[in-house]
Amino acid sequence: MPSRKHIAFKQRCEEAAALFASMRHRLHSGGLEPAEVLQELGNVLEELEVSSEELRVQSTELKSAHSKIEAERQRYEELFEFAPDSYLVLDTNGVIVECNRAAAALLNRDQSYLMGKPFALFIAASDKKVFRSRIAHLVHHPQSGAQLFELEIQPQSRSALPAFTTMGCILDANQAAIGIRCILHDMSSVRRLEKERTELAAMVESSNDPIFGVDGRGIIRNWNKGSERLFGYKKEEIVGKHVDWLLPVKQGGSLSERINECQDHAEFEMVCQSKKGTDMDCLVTVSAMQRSAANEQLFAVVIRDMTQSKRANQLLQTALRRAVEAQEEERQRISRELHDHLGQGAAALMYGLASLSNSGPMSSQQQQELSELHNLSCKLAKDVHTISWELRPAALDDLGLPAALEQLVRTWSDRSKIAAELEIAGVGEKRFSTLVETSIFRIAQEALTNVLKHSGASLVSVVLRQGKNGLLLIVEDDGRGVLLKTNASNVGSQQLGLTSMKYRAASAGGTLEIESSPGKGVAIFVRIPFANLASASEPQA
Amino acid sequence: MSKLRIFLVDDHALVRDGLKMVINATNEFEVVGEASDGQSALQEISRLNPDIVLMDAAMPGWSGAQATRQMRQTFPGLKVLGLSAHEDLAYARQFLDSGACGYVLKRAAAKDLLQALEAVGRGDKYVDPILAAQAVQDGNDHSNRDRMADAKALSERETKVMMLLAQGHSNKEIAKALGVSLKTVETYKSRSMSKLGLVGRTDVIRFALKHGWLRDNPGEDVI
Repeated sequence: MPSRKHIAFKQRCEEAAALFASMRHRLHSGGLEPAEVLQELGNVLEELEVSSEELRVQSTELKSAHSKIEAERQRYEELFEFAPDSYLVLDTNGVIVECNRAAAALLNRDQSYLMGKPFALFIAASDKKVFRSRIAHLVHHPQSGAQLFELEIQPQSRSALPAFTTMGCILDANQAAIGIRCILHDMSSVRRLEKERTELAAMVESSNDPIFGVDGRGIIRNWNKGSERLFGYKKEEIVGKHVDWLLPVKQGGSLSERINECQDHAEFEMVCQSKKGTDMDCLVTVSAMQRSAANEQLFAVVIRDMTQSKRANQLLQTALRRAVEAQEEERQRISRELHDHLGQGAAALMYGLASLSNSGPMSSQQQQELSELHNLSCKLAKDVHTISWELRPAALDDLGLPAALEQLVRTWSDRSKIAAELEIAGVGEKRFSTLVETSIFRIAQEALTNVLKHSGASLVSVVLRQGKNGLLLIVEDDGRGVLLKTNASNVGSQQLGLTSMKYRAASAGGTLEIESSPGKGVAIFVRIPFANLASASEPQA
Repeated sequence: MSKLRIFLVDDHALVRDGLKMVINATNEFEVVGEASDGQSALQEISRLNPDIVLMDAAMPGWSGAQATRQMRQTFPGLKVLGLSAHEDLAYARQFLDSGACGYVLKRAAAKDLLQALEAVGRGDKYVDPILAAQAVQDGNDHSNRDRMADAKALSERETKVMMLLAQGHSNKEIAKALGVSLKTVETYKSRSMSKLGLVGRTDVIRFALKHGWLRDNPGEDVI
C-alpha cells in the first residue's frame, strides 16, 4: 500500500503538471509574464525537491524496517521449528502445510514427507471422527477460540500415544479461516506416571501388610486394608488420630518420637495394641517420604506382627535346647556308667592282680605275665577315664565350671603342645545353672578344638570372669586369624564352627561374638547376662 | 609292731575286695572294716576306731569330700586318705580342703597306694605324684606374673586400651569407646603388651588385677 508521503508526493507532481499546463496556456494567451512563469516554476521545483527528499528518507526507513521484520520472522520460524512441543499448520481441510521437528519426531516421519499429507493419517481410527468434527467446527466458527482436546496419535510404525491437542484458526483480514494451527503435547509419560501411581496406591491399599502414613506431628494420614486387619480400626475411625493411639496404654516410649527421629529409613521393635486390646510384638519399618508440595514431612510406616514368628522361634529354640539338654544328659549318664562300673571294675582288677603278685612264689614268666596284665588293667582304667571325661567331664557336675575349665585347658594344652593359660576372676563357689555351665564349657571346648585345627597359635588365653552384669568367657589365640565378613554365613565363620557355638550361647540366654583379622588371631567372646545365670540352688550331690 | 588299722569306704565291693587283698598282704596295714557309703561308715568308725580311712571320692549319698568333713568333725584326730579315679587337682583340692591328709589315684600302682598309707600314717601329707606335677606346673605359670614390667611404661592411651582389654572388651568395642580405628586399637594393644612383657589376655588380666585396675569395679562392663 502506498504511504501517505508517497500519496502527497504524487499529488504534488499532479499539481505541478496542472500548473505547467495552465501556465503554458496563459503564456500562449499572453496573460502571463515569462518572469512570473520562472518564479512559479522555481517554487514548484523547490517543493518537489523537498518531497523527493522526504521520500528518500522514508525509503531508507522502510528498508531497515524490512530487515528487522525479516529477522523477527526468522526468529519465530526457529522458535516454531525447535519448539519442544509439536507444532503443525494445517489447511482448512486438515492437510499439513507446515510442521516442526518435534511434530516430525512425534509422528515418526520426515518433515518433508509430512508436508501435503492429511493429518488424519496419523490419528488413531477411533479418534479420526472427533478430529474431523473439531476442524469443521473451527472452520465454520472461526471466532470461537481454541479447541482443547485429547487425541490418540498413531505415529508411523510405533504404538499409539495420547496427545493433548490445542487447535485454533488462522484468520485472514476478513476474519475468515484460512488455516488451522495445532499444538500436540505428548501425554504418554504423564499417563504412565499416573498409572504407576494409581497402581502403587492400589497395591498399598490392598496389601496384606499393614501400611500407613504419618505426618510430622504424628497424625495418622492414611490407613490401608492390612492395617485395618491387624489393628481392627476402620480407616474412618483412625485417620486423624495420633499414632501413639496404637500403643498399649501403660507402655513407656512414643512411636511418634521414634518415627520422627527417622532421617531416611529406620527399623525397630515395639509392642503395639489392637483395638481389642491384644498386645502384639511388632517390627516397625519407617521410611521418610519426599516432602510433598506443601513441604510437609510424611512417613510411610510398615508394621509386621512378629508375635507368631516369635512364638514359633521360641518353640524352635525350646525344642533345640531340649535336644541339646537330652544329649548332654545322655552323655552324662553314659559317662557316669563308664566311670562307675567299667572304671571301678578296672581298678578292682588292678588291686586283685597286685595282691596276686604278692600271694606266693611264682616263676619269673608268671611274674612277667602278671605284670603285663596289671599294666593292661591300668591302661584300661585310664582309657575308661579319658572316654568318660570326653563324653562329659564329671568335674563339670561335681566341682563346677572353673574346675572343669581348668581341667579342659590343662588337658588340651598337654595334648596339643600349645601353651594355654586360664584366668578365672570374680567367680565364687556359687554354681550356675547346668545349662550355663554346660554351654560355656562346650563353647570353650569347641573354641580350643578350632584353635588346634586352624590357628597355628603358640598361646591361647582362656578367661572366665563374672561381674555385676553377668558372665564372660574369652578364648583368644595369637594365631593366623581369619578374615571375617559381617555376614555370619561366610567361609571364615563356617570354618570356625561358629554356628553351633552361637547356638549354644543363645540357648543359655547369652551372645557370642567373634573378632579376628589376618595375623591377629581369633578372639571369641561369650556373654551371659546376670539374669540368665540362674545359679542352681540345690546342694551338691 | 602293731599294724595300722585301715577302714575302707567305697561303693564298689570289687574295689574294696581288691584293696583288702593288697593291704592285708602287707605287714604294716590291715583292713579292719569297710562300708559302701559315708553314713554307714561313720557309725562303723565310732565302733572300730581305725587309724586311717581310705575314702573313695564318688559315692551315692555323701561324696568322699563331704563324708570326710563329717568324719573329721566327729573324730578330729582321724586321718583320711582320699582315693579317686579323677586325675584332677581340683578333686584333690576338694578332698584336702575338707580335711583329708592325702589324695591317691586309683590307677596308681599298689606300691604308691601303700606309700600313701605309710605317709599318712606317719602324719605327713600325700598327694599323688601325677597331681603334684600339675600343681608345680601351675606354680610355674603363676610365676610369669613376676616378669611383668611397670604400668608407668604405658602412655595414657595405651593404659586405657589395656584397662578395657582387661575388662573383657573386644577390639571393636574398644575402638568404638575411644573413637579410634580398629587398626589403631590393634597397634596400641600389641605395643603395650610388648612394653609390659605380657603375652595373651590372661596376662593382661593378671596385670590389671595386680595393679588394682579391676579391684574397684570387679567385672565392670563385662557384658
